[in-house]
Amino acid sequence: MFSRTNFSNESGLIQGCLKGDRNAQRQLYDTYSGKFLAICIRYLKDREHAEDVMIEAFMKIFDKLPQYQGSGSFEGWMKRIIVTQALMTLRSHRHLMMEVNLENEADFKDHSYELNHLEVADLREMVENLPVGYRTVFNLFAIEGYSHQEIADLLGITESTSKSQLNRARNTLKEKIASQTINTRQING
Amino acid sequence: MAKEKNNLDQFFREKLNQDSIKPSNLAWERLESQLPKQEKSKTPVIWWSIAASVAALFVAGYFTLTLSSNPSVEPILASSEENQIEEVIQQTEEIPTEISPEIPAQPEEKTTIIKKTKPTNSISQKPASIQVNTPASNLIAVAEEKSEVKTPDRKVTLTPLVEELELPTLALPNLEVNQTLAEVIEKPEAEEPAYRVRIYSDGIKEDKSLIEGISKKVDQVEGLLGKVDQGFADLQDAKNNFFTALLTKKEKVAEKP
Repeated sequence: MFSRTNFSNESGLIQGCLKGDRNAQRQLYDTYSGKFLAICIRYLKDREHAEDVMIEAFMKIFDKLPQYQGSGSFEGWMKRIIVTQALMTLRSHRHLMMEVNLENEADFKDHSYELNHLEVADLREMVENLPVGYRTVFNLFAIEGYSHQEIADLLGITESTSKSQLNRARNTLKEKIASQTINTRQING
Repeated sequence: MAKEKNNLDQFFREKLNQDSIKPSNLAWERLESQLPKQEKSKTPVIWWSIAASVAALFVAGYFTLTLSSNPSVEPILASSEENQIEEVIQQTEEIPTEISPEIPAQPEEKTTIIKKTKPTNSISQKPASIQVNTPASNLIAVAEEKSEVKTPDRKVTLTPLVEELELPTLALPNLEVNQTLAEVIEKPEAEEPAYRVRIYSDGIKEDKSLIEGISKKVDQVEGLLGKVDQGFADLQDAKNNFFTALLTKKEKVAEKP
């Protein structure tokens, strides 16, 4: 009857979650779980594993909610918790091995690539299939917008390692996009 | 080159920030099992609160009925005192114009009248202190409770004086045994009305808002009940229509062959 409280605005939703209201928690989960699972999958590749991490991260969000000051975007605040949780998992599973490649950057061909025809799922798959080190740095830098300094601190690597991992990730992606473009052209042609 | 890289980054960022993968249905259940337990019985709580509020309404209604029936005692008590006041006024011939319009007024104002008896009574005792006492009565009117405690004592001592003047028959029997008896009878008569009038007058001040609030709530409840009745009547109509429609159809079917 009166149990359907209005959580339409963000602050009301946060207040409800702070009180431990199950409906508010459910609504927060329904609103963001898809987005956050996609983030987790970008870092962890394995879907079930990613889902575990997402659930753990939601627990942390509910736990840490009293610490949210209301400054800055709420989604951004939650995303940081999600990313941190994903990185912690990566580290604890010793997945995070940085490939130190001594090849010259010049060896990478400058592939011509077209982006427009690519779907979100294609892009996700490309990122997922990157080696762990490339993938993590690319996710953090290119998509989440962390600086190399922050990435170096988060991952326990040097800034230059972070930069080189990023460059390798970009080149690999370009290669993949180029090959995919050729494939689609062959199919279309 | 740098621009190109940024383009790549930007492209991935824009696309992948829109990315959303629906988690499995079990995911929420797993999360919920880890969350601190919450009393799920939300609707029972509402029903309990409704029941409690209805009970509170009944209690409040009971009290208002008992309180509204009590004021019937008041006029009698008040009139008896008013008579006394009038008699005192007749004796002293002080301010008949001021008091006489106030006598038919509400019980709230009776307290002020009663307080005015104090100066008039004191006149009968000490005629010199009239002007000094009247401002004092205003002060007492502010601190009502204190005056309430004090005034009965004075009254008890004063009313016998009045009644001695009124009823010489009581005063006449000066026999030792009768005197004690007469005093015993007089005192409770004088004390009880003095107390009762003040208590009820104060009580009604607060009750007015209460009664108004309660009457509003009762109206609301009545409105709800009316709606329920209407809905029930509509349902019955619909049911009757339905059955009549069925019956007519059956009749038609029966008629056709």
